Amino acid sequence: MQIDDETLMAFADGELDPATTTRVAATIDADPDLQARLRLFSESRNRLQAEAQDAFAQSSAQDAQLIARIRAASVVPANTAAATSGAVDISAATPGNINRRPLAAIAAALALALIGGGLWWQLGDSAGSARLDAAQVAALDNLPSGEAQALDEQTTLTMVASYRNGKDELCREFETHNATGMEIIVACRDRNDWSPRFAMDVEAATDGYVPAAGELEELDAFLANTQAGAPLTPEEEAAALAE
Amino acid sequence: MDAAFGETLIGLLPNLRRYAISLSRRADVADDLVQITVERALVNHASYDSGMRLEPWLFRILRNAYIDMTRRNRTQGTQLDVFEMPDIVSTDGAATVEARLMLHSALDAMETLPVEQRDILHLVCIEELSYAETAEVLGIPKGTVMSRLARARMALSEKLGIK
Repeated sequence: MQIDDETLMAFADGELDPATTTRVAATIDADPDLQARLRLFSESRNRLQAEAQDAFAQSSAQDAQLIARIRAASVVPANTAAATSGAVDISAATPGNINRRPLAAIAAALALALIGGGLWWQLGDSAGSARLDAAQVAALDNLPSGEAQALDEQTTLTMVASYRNGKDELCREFETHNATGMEIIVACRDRNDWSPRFAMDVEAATDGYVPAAGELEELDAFLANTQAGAPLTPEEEAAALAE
Repeated sequence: MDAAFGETLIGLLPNLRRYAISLSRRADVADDLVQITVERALVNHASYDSGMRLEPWLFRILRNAYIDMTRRNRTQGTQLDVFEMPDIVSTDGAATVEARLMLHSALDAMETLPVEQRDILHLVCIEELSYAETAEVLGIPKGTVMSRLARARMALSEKLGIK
């Protein structure tokens, strides 16, 4: 019987049905060339497996936090978001309504470098002099997190996440992108008016240097200072926006 | 969400991290990918079919998160699937020279392969997924898994001097 490479590999991996396995084994037994070729497949797998045992870092500083997060989710009766919406297609792109760190990673991936420390500002609870324009307010009122819309020909607004701060105000974080960089803004809703509370300019790097994730420290500090809660799920966000 | 799901998920954190490092080759990005995967798994756990093993389901989430991340990396320009263009691989002079140098560590040798080959080797040979589960993770037919995997194994063997 003719045995091609894929069959030989499937034999080495134990993926053949019993009858075929018996036939292939008999053929290999009688053919030294096939035995040598089989080693290509069995050896490559064995060696990878042996080395992988201790080669990869098995833990990370964030593990404790993740484990706590998972255990906390286990005791909540049922995740209402998943329970009401039923099966969710995991293959679809999921909105960025998750937390801060993915954004930091994406910023890194976009090859953006933070310029200086002087380009961000933080407002008090009363609205300051800075104003949101009408298009931004419309997006704050309507655009779900994870979605983007064009503000004008050069600029795109991407809604990142919604959350409640320590005063139970609804806050939303968004980015505006144009050719030269992006601005990250957090606005909170106070008696139906959106007021900007935080803004930071991020300029595109010119030399291709990619900063490590987690460089959005000012934003992290702002979120911590205002006791930002966990990002709302899409359903919670829709309900909060409808209030 | 039942506690068993959570505990299984916790038990698989090292596997997720290992796969994330294999894909991204960066510890910080791997941490982000694992975190995104955990969040998505918690939100979407209702769509997990408990008749299946959890590994392929989680690996698929992680891999999609990695693709989302690289898709947003517009500055890198168009990414080509080297696998769809075998000519490019076979005419790469540097690769030929490298193969002759004969690497001693199988993992080092795997590192020199294109991401598509690393990905499939990792899932089958390190995480020990079946061909069917791997096809599920990668979203390709089982026959394609087999042909890709066979070529990746041959390339690896050649670099390792296995004859």
